Amino acid sequence: MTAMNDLGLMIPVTVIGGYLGAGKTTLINSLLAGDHGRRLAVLVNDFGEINIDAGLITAHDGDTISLSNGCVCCTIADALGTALDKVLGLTPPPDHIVIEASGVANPAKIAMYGQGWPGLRLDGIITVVDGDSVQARSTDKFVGTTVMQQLAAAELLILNKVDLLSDQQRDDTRQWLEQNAPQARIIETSKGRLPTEVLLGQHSNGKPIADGTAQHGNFEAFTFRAERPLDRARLLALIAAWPAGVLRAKGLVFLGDDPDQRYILQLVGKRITLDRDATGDMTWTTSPPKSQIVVIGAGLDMAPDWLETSLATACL
Amino acid sequence: MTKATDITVYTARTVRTMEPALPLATAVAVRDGQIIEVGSLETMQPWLDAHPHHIYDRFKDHVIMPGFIDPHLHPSMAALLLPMHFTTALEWHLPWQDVPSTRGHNEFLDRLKEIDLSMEDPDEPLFAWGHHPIWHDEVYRSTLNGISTTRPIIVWHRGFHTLVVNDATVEWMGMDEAEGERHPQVNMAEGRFFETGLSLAFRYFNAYTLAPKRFAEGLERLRQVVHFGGHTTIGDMAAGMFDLEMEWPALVKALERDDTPFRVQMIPPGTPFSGGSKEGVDLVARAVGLRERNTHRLQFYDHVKLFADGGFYAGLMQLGPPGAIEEHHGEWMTPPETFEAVARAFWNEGFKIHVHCSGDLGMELALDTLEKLQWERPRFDHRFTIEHFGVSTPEQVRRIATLGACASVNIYYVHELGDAYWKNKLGHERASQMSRLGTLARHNVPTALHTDFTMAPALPLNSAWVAVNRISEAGHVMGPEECLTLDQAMRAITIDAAYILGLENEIGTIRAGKKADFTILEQDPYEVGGENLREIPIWGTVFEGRPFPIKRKK
Repeated sequence: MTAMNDLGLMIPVTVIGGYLGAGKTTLINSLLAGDHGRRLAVLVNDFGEINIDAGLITAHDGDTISLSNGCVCCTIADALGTALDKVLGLTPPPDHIVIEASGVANPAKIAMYGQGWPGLRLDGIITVVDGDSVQARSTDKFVGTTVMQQLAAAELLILNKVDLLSDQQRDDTRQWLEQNAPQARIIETSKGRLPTEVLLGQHSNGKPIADGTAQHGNFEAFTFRAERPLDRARLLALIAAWPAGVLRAKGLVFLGDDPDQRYILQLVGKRITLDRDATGDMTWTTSPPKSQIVVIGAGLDMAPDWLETSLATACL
Repeated sequence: MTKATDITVYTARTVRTMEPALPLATAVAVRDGQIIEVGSLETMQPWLDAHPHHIYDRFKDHVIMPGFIDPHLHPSMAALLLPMHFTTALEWHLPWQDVPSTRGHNEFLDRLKEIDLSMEDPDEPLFAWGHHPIWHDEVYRSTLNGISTTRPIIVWHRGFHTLVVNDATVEWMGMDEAEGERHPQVNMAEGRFFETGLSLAFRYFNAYTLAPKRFAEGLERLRQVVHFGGHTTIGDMAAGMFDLEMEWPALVKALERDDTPFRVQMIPPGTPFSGGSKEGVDLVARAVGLRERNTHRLQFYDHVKLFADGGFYAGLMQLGPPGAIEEHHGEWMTPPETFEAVARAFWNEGFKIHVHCSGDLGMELALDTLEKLQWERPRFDHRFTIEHFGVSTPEQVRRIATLGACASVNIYYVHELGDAYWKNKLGHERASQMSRLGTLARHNVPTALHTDFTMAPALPLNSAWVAVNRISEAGHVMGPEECLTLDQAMRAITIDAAYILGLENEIGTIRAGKKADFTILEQDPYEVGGENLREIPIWGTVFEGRPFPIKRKK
């Protein structure tokens, strides 16, 4: 499968939001140090809490830290646009950009930069919540509204610090989040430990997540391949009906109603996009038409061939 | 030939000292930029007998007041804006131009045409600031194409959050139409960039609007504006708002000149606008370190600026109950926990903290924090100052008094936004009590007036006029119980403004020992009265003992 960067020539941007103390920084630290084979550019508000192993740092020039794994971390300072242009100017450009929204920002607003900046496309909006305090914060006189906005903006909602909760509290919190952020898929975790594939989506060059299931709890990946064209309406209906444990999906799609054009399918949380290749001139000339979709989920408890079975019914 | 060490005696029709112990005088003796004695030629005779002196009687028919002070404006923002053409609904008096009021859609377009015709270089982009749909109706890309298809025209909203451009601008920017269409807050068909979409436009404009030459011209205009208002001291209340290392050399070059008749107190932001670290310790060291670069006129010192909620013109203030007429989303510029941690770091180092507060919930955060800090480590005379003071409650003012805090108020909100916020946002009760100066005065809270220029015209007498009359642009008296008396208003642009900047021992009144900073008026505000305060002509200023007349407009 060709790298998405080459396909779309658009670098995906993931926004990570959430109130102070929710665990954004822990998540970002693990992304930066992770052995995921991707060159990430991570934009943070300040380096104060970023904790990078000094042995990994190859250069530090004021507002940018370069790491030996190819990742860079850059401070936003006072201008997000300037920071975006800075990392876009890197040679070679990053595979993926992660923006840490400030603790009081509405991540949906930050995502508009990712969506609209030249050369970028929005991958997804992730809101991290502290399972222990999110309900109390949601009624705080100063930040209650802000916290509720952050929940409403989420496509993936990371319910962090579940190890600090009793089973009852965990169920209560989850239920409360489902009510207050019905548009989001919820992922439970502790200490921000999540596979990169879940946070940033499946990477073309990444190892299959199934290999890492032991390490990553119960996260699973399923792959679907078909050389027959798919029916657009049926495909979208099927995806919308997938179980709640499905967190992300991504792939190339060969559609029956537009057979010359390559389509990119993307599912983040419950948001589905099925768009023509953004460059508009990518047709099936370099490879035979074929759909290939990878789905990532958690606690799905499905048969290994459920995805094949599900999507087969969309084949024409 | 007078030597620098000789005494110069300024005689005047009246010297309004703003010192209750000696409010009126007819002469001021000055040596080396310092006031030696105030009184009359007779009373100061012992000084004159003892030292060489001369009498300077050019002000014999004028009124001498302490030099006016605006403790909160933004030179760099002004430098960006002042090279643009003003097309505002309200009048602006600038040193080089009286900008007429432009109201009505066709009038707005006529004004753009007039500016277009007046520009010599046919390719020079026309940046127009001041569009507001309430007055001018909507304008679109096609509307602006009707003005010119060859000259880039950029129309910027009065509140800075939207701009509209014509075809020639898109071409000048070299922007791909498809690029703009992808952005959720850009509408290419309408030529409109708003909110986060503005960054996309400025990505192309910055190279032009912030180019060193243009920025320097903007600062030169700012220099004229400050003098024109009669100021001898201003506060840059977020020094380095774009990028201090870019701005500082430009500020020094533009303002640290022998012929600049004012000083600038530099108050740096304590946190980066994006949030910043929780602990704040490094931030204190940074703020202290800035003093090493001080020059004679540009001085960093023990004052720092923090930010609570979003801007008042942008409508991003945090409102307490009952909120706004329509759904309202305020923003925090700093997370409350970060705000507290950074405030504590500066408080414990003895800094004077100025807090940007637009709405009453923003103010609540500032006051809750101050109360905690007072409990942990009590301080007298700490000058914790609430800046802007858009929406507040009377109880908050009482609390400000109890906690020993001060206020620096943008009174122009009442004039420009009074009607709009009455009708569209807050309702009459709270809109009429914005910038509640009367309550502050009744609680004896030290209170200055500021303009936040370019949010309001940098004209202290105009600010004082609004403070005394509270007349909205539509002519309504907004909250008469919140008016200041004439004397309170004059103090708020002189000695009380000096107090807010921590400079009351050096400036703000006319008395022996202070700097010889004067504003020279053609009429006496106390005789003219509050109603016509803003009409009083200003002859010029004296800065550190040297007269600087204001050049008349052609």
